[in-house]
Amino acid sequence: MIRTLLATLPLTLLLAGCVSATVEEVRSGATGMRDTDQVVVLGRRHNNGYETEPDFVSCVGNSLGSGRDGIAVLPERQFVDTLFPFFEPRTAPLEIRDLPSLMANEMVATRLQEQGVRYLVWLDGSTSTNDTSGSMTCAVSPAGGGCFGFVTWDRESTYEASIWDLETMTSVGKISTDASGTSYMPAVILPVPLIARVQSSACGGMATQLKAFLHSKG
Amino acid sequence: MRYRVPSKAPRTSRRRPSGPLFLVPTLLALLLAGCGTTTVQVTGGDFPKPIVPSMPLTLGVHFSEQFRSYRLQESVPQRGDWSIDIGNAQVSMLRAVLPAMFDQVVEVDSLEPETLPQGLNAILVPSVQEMQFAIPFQTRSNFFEVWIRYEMSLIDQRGDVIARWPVTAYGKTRSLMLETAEAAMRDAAINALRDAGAFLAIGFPNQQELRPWLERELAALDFTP
Repeated sequence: MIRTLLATLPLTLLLAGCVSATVEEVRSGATGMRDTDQVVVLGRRHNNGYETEPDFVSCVGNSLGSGRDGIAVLPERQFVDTLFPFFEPRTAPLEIRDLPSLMANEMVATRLQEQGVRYLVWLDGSTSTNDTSGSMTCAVSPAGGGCFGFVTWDRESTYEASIWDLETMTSVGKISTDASGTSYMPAVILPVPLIARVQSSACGGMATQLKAFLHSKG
Repeated sequence: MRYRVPSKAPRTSRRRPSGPLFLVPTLLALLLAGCGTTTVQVTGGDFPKPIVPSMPLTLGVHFSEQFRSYRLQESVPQRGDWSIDIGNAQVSMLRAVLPAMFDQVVEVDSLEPETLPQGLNAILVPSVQEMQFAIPFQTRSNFFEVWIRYEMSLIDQRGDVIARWPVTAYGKTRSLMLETAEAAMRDAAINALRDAGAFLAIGFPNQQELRPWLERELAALDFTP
């Protein structure tokens, strides 16, 4: 068993492209989690050119909720449906200054209290492919088929999380993460993808930092 | 692969397919033509009820046959024909949204004054003025997008128009690697319908065209929104 693991480890490392990631945090208020507090992670979707990917939002939410120090996280879809129509792309509060007028709506405030939501985490950003180079040719004939060539592409993830405290109606901080990596696909008969897991790395970095940020008394 | 040199020998006869064999190319052509249409059936269902204050009014609502079965059919160059059916889904959306906005909502089959039930404060008649969509091929982005422009008409028991106002809606969804174009377009259409529902639920009490009627009706009930 151990031999198999040792044998596959270098192969796994070899097959994964390299990713570099940085995470930065700016704190502007105190935090802390009580047992009854819940967090909601929401994606920004009002921009025309991009939207925060739902799978990134759920990745951060799931990572926040996992582990011994996991935080109670309300799923995005459940929250948005419960608060319909106030968190749709066109109606959601964009700035912290929009929050008091929303919370002045008794129905919204009651619903948020029932859900036990203390923090809103807004994720804004996206992952994009910036540069692709190389070429690959594939051919099929009655005798068989195969590919030959080399393709490489760069991917970059840039996300920012704004954390709003619904009790104090203030923005308590921001966490940003940038990750980039190059994936390769050499092909001699069979293409072998060496994928840099850029978005996954950004998700892991963001969730770890968020968890520490919310638990910390600041 | 073998390359066959054409024979120089004179052809003695060239038989044309006769009988049922003649139908084969025709059937093949029809089959291939059928592959060019992408059909998107936006099924009704899971629209959430809005959390807005309910007005103490009884609203009639009339879904015309055209509204119930609304379907956009359009051809996209190099990407074939698209058929997007939102009829059922938009009725479902209004069935979820309107009962939260009014104390009572009654669906009426006809707008003939003599067939309308008594006690309605007004009747809402929604209609689709325009619908458009875009696929990633057209916009060179990763998004499927849907735009819908509704016209809402509010009429009284005699059939006279109280007010007309537009409701615009927009929805988009990201094109995913393992998702079909149909599924992505369906999600974009559902997002557009949610947007329409949100706009209607929040905007109704503040709609300029409706103000005089709403103030009159609510004043008669001594109700302040």
